[in-house]
Amino acid sequence: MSTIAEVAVRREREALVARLSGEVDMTNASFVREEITSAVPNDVAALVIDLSEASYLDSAAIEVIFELSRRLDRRRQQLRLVVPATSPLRRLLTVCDVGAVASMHERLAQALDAA
Amino acid sequence: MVPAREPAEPMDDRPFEEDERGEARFRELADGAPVFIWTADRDGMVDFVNRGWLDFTGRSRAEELGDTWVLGVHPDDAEGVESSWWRAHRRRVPWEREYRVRRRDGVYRWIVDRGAPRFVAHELVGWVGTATDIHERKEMESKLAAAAARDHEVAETLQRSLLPERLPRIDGVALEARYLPAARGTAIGGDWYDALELDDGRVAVVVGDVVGHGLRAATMMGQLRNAFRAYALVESSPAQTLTRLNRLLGKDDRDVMATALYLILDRESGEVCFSSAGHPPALVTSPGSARYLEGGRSVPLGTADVAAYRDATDRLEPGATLLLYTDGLVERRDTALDDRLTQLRSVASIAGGELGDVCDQILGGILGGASAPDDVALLAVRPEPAPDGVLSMRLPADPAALAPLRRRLERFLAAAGASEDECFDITLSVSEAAMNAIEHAYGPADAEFELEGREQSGELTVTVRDTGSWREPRSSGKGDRGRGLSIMRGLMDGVEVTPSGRGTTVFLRRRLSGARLGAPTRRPA
Repeated sequence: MSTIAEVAVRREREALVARLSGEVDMTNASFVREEITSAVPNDVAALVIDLSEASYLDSAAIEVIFELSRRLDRRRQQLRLVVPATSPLRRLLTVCDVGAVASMHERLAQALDAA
Repeated sequence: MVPAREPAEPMDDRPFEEDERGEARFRELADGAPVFIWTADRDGMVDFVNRGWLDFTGRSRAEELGDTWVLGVHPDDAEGVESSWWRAHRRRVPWEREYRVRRRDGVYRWIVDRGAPRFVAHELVGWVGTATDIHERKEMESKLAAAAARDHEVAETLQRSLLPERLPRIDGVALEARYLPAARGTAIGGDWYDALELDDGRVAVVVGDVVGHGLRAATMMGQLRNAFRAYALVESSPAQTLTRLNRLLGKDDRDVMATALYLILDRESGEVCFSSAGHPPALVTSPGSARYLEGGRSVPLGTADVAAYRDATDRLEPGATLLLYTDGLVERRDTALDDRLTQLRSVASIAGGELGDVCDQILGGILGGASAPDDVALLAVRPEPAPDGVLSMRLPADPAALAPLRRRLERFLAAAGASEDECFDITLSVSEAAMNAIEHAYGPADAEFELEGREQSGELTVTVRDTGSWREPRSSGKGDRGRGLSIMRGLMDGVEVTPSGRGTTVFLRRRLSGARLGAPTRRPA
């Protein structure tokens, strides 16, 4: 696979943090979805996807975010995104209205503190 | 046809100068012998054949005598047998011939027939001969000959199959290769060349030479070529790839040595990065001049367990041609290598025209029409970048094309002076249009789509055109493509989607705020 993404997950307080680095496009979006989906336990209050190290997302990656939010919503779990203020991803997420299903935070600490 | 003589002809024709008792004894012995025995008179007419021969051919003694015995010879062999026999008879020299003769069951069998002249006081008095059935031996020989021919064919086929039948068509780079087998027709070389497009959008070219000849060298060459392709895709530098290949050769005591020159080309900028494992240097030619790419040299693969391979970089002049070759082109026992390299440079500096013509001019100029004593492989590479401010790509309608597309587009945008944010927005929007093209072209395995980017007075336009058959967007509801369209509309200044019977064209437009400001170095015009 020529488009490379890595997913690192860890438990942090009441949340599961999935740190996504690299690029996600239609060739590896389903891999990323599986990595994250299978890592979310039932007993966390929120999934935090940290996009600080993500350099590229396309519509297939956005679809993964919407899909995750639907799953989490059914389990009364929240979806929070970490997107640095300077990240070009902000415009993409805004255009796709991801804010309707996930809260956006500039730093991880803020995302963890949010409730 | 001369009728056969009666066997009981006058006694001066009898085979041995003995009395009748002696002759009768000879015939008795001959009849019991496990070989075929015959005698002929001083005129070359057969006057005796033994019982074994008659049993074998199933014919009467009368039919076998005189010169009608030839009637039993295979029609394809008869003329040669007859003429050689009479020639030997005239010259009075021993005769030997292998030919097919009809057995009593109608099957033709191979025999070897030998006749010796007999002299009395230097006068030819007749012939005595023996014949043996050698059919099994001949069958074996022809099987062996067929097997040898098959071996040769296998070797030739292997050689051809290990080299790329045709070089890949890589957008924006002209490629030509020549392979001349050594003068020794059956010697199979371990020369190889290859070209492939890397995921980062650069182009990898390689030329190598496994030391030695024969099936082993050719087989090793095939393994190296495959290993090279695999390593080249995961390693980003030529030296790292060569290091991996060297480690591979060091395994299992393979005892194989090979030279290789691996070069990665950025077709847009002309930048090259290369590393050599004991291989002759690449040559860069422009009309009227030629120079070797120096540096990046190290030992051949397989000579040291831990070898340090180095990368060197250079930049091709616009319009320049890159030549990679194997040492068969420059190595001669009678001339020092340096002299041959100097000669190659001067021949290359006056070669010009289409890439194929350049190859032929160089081979003609160096080898002078003679066949080379060693295999020669020549690979010519010429970047054919679109003019400044234009990016032109033709890509397979395959999601795997997306990552290389992004890399090439990013470099183009950076050169056009786009900011990092603009670069992201445009790359993403173009990728969405490309995904659209890839989905539309779904079906034919070799479908392609075209992309053309232009930067003019601070405005960037990109056209993505798919040539595959039109397919209605899936209406299953996920709305990926709809999302793709809103991404394009949200990030670009203008988006036009034009479906037609022959495909869809997506036109994107975006003003570059920082165009021409702080643009990285562009290739000199």
